[in-house]
Amino acid sequence: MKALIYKDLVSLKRTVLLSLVILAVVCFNAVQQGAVLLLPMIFVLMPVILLGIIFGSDTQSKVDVYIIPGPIKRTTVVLSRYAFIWFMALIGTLFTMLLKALTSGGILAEIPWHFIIATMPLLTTLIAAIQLPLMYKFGAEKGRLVFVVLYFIIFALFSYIGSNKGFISELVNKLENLNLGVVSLLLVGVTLLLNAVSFTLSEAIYSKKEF
Amino acid sequence: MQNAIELRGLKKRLGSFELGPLNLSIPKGCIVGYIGENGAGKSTTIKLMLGLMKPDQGEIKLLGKSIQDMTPEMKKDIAYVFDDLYLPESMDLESVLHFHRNFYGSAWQDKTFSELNARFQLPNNKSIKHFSRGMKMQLGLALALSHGAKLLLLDEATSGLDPVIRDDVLDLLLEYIQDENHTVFVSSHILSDLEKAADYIAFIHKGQLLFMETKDDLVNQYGITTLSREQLEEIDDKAIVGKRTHQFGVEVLLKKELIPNDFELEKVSVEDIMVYMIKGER
Amino acid sequence: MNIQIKNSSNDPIYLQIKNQIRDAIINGELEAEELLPSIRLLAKELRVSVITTKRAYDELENDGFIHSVQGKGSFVAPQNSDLMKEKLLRKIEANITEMLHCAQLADFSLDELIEMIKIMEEEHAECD
Repeated sequence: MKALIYKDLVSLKRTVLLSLVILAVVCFNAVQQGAVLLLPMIFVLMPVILLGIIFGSDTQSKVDVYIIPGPIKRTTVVLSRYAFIWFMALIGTLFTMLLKALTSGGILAEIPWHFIIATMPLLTTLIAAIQLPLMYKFGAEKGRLVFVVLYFIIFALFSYIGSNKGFISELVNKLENLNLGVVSLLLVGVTLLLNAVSFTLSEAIYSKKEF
Repeated sequence: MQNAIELRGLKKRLGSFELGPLNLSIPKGCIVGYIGENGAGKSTTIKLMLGLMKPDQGEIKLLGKSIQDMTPEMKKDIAYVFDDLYLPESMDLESVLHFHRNFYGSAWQDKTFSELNARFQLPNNKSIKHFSRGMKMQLGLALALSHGAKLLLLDEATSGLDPVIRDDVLDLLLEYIQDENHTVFVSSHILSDLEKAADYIAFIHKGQLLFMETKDDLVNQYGITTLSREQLEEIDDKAIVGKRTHQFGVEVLLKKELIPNDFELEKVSVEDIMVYMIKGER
Repeated sequence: MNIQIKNSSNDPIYLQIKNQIRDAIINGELEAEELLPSIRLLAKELRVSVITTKRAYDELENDGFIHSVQGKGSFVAPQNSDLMKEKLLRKIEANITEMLHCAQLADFSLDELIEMIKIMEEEHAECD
């Protein structure tokens, strides 16, 4: 697995440098303008972008043909991709916590620690967890297309729900009644379930694949 | 003696193409040329052996072990080279090496790799993207030979390479099987000079194995000659494997055992046999 | 020892190898108990298949020119000239028995046979 992650990093090498530069610029800007909450959002987008690049590079070089006959299980190949996402999620969460510790006042100060720890992993893995099985099923290009279609469906669903004001206010009311701690716990559960289901799906798809 | 490769009733359907049922036993310690036209099923066979595809039916044993039961550790005993490297193009020699150290763990032999690398003189500072086809194949072969594998599978690896590089490959293969536990399986639509070193020839045509024989017996069974049409009529039809009719005679590939002894026949190459057999069928 | 493989030759490659090693043994170029190259090394150097060199060695061993020791390699067998003569004698005897049998069937007389042998001997001498 170390070898696979190393390979991914090599494919990303140039991109990683570029992303770090962009990251630094965005950070600087955001801090100057006081929009600190923008920073954690970078970690929501970054994994998706990097994942796209890795899949693109793998598709181009057909690296699976080389890896699968080698001393590795197909499950490990899939796991290495998730490990990458989970590592990014960990960094994102730690980064947000660091941000909270460093900044006084502002919106971050108002959000309790446990809520950050609960929401960040969900936010950072959500898109990847949906996208990965799609990419394994349809390939990098088509996977992204399917994802966009899915995105529109969800968007349409939301705007439908949005137009149904009664439902929203009811939900908000319910949430307000709930303890934030319970919500956090719920979110952790959702994150774990989502990732477990996503991994199981990807693994099932990948293990049946022929090259 | 244990077989290095054993295929039993292997079947695979891909669209309108059907491979098998294929039965093939390859003893260890030899070089086998697996020949046939493009699309005859050579690559499919190798992909099935390497687990890139799953058979519809049948069993595949490599080095005495059924491939489904192989652990990653056992797979280190199998090396493979394809017609392309299939590694990310942004990698250079250094990162390829680093990747393989991690990929093969303790089985990786840095010393063997650097020796082969020195022999091929592959460029240190270029990414694979800028490697020529020959360099990619040399690198692929160097990588394959550097983790102590006992079975080497080459899938069209030398097709389209210049004669000098093919000559190097011939030497490397002969060096590799100095160890009698090593086995080489070369699939190619054109064996050319690699034919010299081949112990056995297996011929696949339209998904079916037509024969597997020692190369010496195979080449000695047949002969080529040019006859006039009248002479051709006198020959037993069964003796004629294939023929090429031209304005000034008929070139025929004949089975030696079915024709009179006093016939002057020229030696044949494996390629001649392949071409005449396929054309003879049409 | 030199071994030369000719593609133009009508003899199969294993026979070319076998004959050249046999000649080297008979004319003393290879001495008794001398270690011969392994079949794999010979194959590599001559760029032929292992089966080819193995067949050459197998036949040399059957003909008593070399003997193989498991795990050690192949060695030149001591060539006992009396033994060789003995072997050849037996081969001649077998051939004569066969010849007499055929002659009986074809109703050839002994004199006719001897005459035939004489003629063939002269032809054979001319060939050499």
